[in-house]
Amino acid sequence: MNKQIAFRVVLAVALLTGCVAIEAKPPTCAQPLGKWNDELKSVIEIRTYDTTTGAITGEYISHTDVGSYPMVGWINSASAESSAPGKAGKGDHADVFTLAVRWVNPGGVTTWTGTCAVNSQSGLAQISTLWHTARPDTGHEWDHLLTGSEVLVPIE
Amino acid sequence: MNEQISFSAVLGLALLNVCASVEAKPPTCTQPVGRWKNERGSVLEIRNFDAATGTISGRYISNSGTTGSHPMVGWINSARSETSDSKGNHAEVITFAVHWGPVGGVSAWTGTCAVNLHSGLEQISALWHTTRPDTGFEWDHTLTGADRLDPLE
Repeated sequence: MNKQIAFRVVLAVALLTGCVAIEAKPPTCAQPLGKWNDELKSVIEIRTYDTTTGAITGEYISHTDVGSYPMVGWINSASAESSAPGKAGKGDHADVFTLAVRWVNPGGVTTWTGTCAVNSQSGLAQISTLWHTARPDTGHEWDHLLTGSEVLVPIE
Repeated sequence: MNEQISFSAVLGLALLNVCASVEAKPPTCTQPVGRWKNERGSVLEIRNFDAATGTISGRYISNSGTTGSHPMVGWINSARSETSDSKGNHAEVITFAVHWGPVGGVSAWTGTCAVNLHSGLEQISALWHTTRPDTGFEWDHTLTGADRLDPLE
């Protein structure tokens, strides 16, 4: 009886360790589910990825205001049907991502758009993006939109 | 019997006309469900808008570069900032992202929706990024530009 209990405990611990190890695996371009850090040390967590449609959902967990905000977007890795200039086998292929987040207080929306590829120096995947942010309340008519670039890296 | 049938037919047609006229109403910044057309004749069709969460979804019917309709998701945010200055400028903000399917690539538009002072009509003014999976070089995956979308009557 005691042996049975001890065996079950060992089995449960082994399974738990296995699960933790699987969960701790950092996301990649092809397996993007997981957490990515932006340059502000905030976290973009991709929680669902439908490989049929390319749809992704998740949340942006802010480092600065400890809030979390909903995210939707797309991944598309399909090779273009029409040939791009210089393609013909010699071109460059990348997985492409777009993420859209809705902010609350202050309001606004942001999209990141870019490519995911392995960084040759770190050996890790990274998403290199350009972003636009639109803010509903600003001082003038001409300063609603901001832009910039950002690299997202997987959290180990 | 015949009178009943013709009355029903007239009533049916009348209801149909009412429905058609309701549907034909052009979208606005606060009632964005409907069709918006850009300068190149492509159409953004917002089919769903959840005012509680700000979620929008629908499709984008392209008239340039590629044909067909492509799925769209995004957000609208009209919340006034708690710290907003009453002397400042307020606009509805919108973002929508499109998946180009087997054509390859994704695009995202981000911008404001406000009344155009010249036309008096509401319009979405947005900046966009498009990222393509297959290009000639490592440095030419992402394109950028600006779009204006007008409500389609």
